[in-house]
Amino acid sequence: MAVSWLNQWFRPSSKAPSDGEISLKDMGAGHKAKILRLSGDDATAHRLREMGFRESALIEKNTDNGAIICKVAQARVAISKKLAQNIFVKDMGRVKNSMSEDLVLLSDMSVGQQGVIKDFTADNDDYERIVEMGVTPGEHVEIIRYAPLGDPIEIRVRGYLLSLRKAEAERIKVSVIN
Amino acid sequence: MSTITIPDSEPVSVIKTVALAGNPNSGKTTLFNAFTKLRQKVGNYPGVTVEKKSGTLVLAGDRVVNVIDLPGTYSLAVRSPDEQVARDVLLGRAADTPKPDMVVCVVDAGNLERNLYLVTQIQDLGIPIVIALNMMDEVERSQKSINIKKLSQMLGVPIVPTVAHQNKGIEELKKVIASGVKVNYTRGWRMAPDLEEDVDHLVRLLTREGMNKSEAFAEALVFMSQWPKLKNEEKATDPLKRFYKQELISQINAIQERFIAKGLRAKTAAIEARYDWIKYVIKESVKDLSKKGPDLTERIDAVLTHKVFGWMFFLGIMAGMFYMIFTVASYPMDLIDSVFGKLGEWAASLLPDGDLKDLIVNGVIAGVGGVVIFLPQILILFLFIGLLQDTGYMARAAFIMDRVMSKVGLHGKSFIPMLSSFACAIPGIMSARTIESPKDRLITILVAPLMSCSARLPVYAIMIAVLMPAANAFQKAGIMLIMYLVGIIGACVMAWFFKATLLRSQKPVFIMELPPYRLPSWKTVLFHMWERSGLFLKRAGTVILAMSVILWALMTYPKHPNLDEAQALQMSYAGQMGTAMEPLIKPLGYDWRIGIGLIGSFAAREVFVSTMSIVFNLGDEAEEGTLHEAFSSAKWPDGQPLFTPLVCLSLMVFYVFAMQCVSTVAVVWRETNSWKWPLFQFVYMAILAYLAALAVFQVGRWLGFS
Repeated sequence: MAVSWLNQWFRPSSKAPSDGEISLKDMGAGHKAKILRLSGDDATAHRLREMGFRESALIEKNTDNGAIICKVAQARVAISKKLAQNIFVKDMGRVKNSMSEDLVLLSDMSVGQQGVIKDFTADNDDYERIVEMGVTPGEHVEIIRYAPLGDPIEIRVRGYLLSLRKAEAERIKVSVIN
Repeated sequence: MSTITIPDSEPVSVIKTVALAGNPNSGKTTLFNAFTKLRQKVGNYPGVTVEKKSGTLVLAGDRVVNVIDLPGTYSLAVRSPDEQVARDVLLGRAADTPKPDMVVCVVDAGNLERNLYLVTQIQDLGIPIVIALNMMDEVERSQKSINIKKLSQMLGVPIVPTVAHQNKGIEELKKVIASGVKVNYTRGWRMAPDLEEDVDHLVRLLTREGMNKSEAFAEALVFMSQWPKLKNEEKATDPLKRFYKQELISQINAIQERFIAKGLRAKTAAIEARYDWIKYVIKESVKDLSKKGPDLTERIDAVLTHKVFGWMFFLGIMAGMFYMIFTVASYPMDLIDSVFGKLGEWAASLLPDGDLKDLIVNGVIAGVGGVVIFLPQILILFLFIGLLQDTGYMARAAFIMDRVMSKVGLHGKSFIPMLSSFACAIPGIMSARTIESPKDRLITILVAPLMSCSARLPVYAIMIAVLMPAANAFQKAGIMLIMYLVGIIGACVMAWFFKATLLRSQKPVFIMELPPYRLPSWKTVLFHMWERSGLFLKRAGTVILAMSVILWALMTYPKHPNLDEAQALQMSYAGQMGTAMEPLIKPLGYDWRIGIGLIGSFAAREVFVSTMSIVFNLGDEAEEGTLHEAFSSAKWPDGQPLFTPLVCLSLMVFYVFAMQCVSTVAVVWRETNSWKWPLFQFVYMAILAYLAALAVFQVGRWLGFS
């Protein structure tokens, strides 16, 4: 993973984007965009079109950590940064209620607060355990209580009660409802 | 309870083996007990510390079916030994375990969403499934209604509503097992197109190697979500390696590279897709009219995890448990003691004098008695643990205590084993089974015997009496308390040390379900006690018996019929070992006589007192008073007093740290399923004890104490 990241960092971009054009990779998360053109070889472009990245399609870039998650035709699709470099779009600005707005860490929420899980911080490999317990993006969470000594936290998710340490909750980004 | 929905099922093959799968707290064990009654066998899966429970189910017409109780897991990902075992058994890869012909998925009807997640994973494996929709009584009491027919149709799985602890639905389940179920499964969930494509590719690769399609799909998902797993350098430790050839591995690695390039989302794509599908299924089949206010569980929790009342309740429960283990258990323990004493006398009166009589009376009967005497404490502890677990309070205790335990790198659930070890390390170590993380469990097992158990009490008592004969009870209790504290601090330091060095793991995720409070099922609790105590007596008992006989032989042979008891003991192997040990233990301030006491204590610490009575010629049944007088007047050959205050302290500290307990060694062997850990534990504790006692004696002398 580190190697591909380095490659991307050092490789000069093959074609400079023209005015108003920006690669999906470089566009900020939480922005809406219209696809202008696809670059790269035919196979790549074909594959992107299959995934829904067609010219003039409207997409939303949700997250940008490690991989890029986009909303394409109502589906959430993950693509690598490398692929995203081949997609040139017109940035249509920030989406309202976008994923990257007003996100707080689950560990910073107070008792009784509710929210929708949006994202995980990318620096850890080990969070599938949490996701498997049903803490998935899009799910509703509620902070039920903190343990008497302040840690761990008890939350309600998918209709049951779950406790996790603050260290784990710090990896979960939530958009607060109340 | 009468609705059974079996969509066009027809028997595929005759069911011989059934596996029970399900989340923890889904009532799986209760169902297993209802199925198998007392026809159960508990053992270990070969090579791992995961407990294997199996039994037999009798169907109509006396047909007998094997039942395997898989470990309770939330998932079939292969991240923990439990999950690995569950997966291996279901795929027919576990040694000594037949591939199940059918899986009974136990699903908590009150927690459908998360429970169905495991069901979708098992469905991928292509094994016939029936769902036991358990705890239906709770759903019926709430304002919720489940359209079982619809749910069954959507999942493509027959569903039998059950209330396992009331034996409801068991007969219906048996009928389904008797008739068999056809696999009727089409995957309802989809991931992003690019991921599906790569998974397809993997499936094609694996099916070409002869794997069937569903198994290949399940494996492909593992490769997608756990990419570092099949890296070449890790292959040596990967249990899957025996199933793949090198070229296939490199092909798989190539695809895994693509997943890695897709970033973290490839890891969780399947999880999210499954949950999306489950959400849809539930929306279509469940009507939830319950009010969203705090339910009973939350109202109870508001008190039991309260900043003040929570602690009071917790301390009350722990104090009650402690009281029961220490005082109430002493009555049956005295009874067992006297029964074995009588048995010894009776055997002694029947047998002719000689080695055989000595072996039977002092080796076998005393050895077995020494084991059985722990039984009341074990039963009481497991009664408490069973109740705490079955009601759901155990998770709350861990929730409250986690902050404290995490300071030294332990899990909230390590608390019960540590506390129980104050009574006796044996049940404490056995209760560490409730800790899911294998490393946390191992650390807990390794440090639990550092807590001062009740067998150390007689040793502390006599040493304190020698140390300060004139002190009042309050001062004596103070010294005793210091010894307990030394043990606690030692346990914390060692736990922290192991966590930081030997058993370092990348910060494990602490995530724990807080199950709803439920009335305990007495049947389940009693089963639990019966099973634990049976295991203790059977497995540990054999080892302890053997060790007792060995120790007896060491202290008896070679025979010197002409000498008196004390001299004979000095000339025995144990005595020779004590004499040989003297140079080693002299820096601690001990002579060979104390050396013999230390060796004898290996059978059990309290044996120190009776061994020392023999050494000092007081006979077996010496009163504590006379022994402590003998200690006070004991001298080195040069006339210096032996039991100086420093030696008493040093000896007590030695007893705090040393693992002088055959039973504990045997139990650790059983619980870790290898000799490596008990040996390691014995050695580290011996070194710790030696160094600590040395430090007390030498530093004390250097400071000018005697």
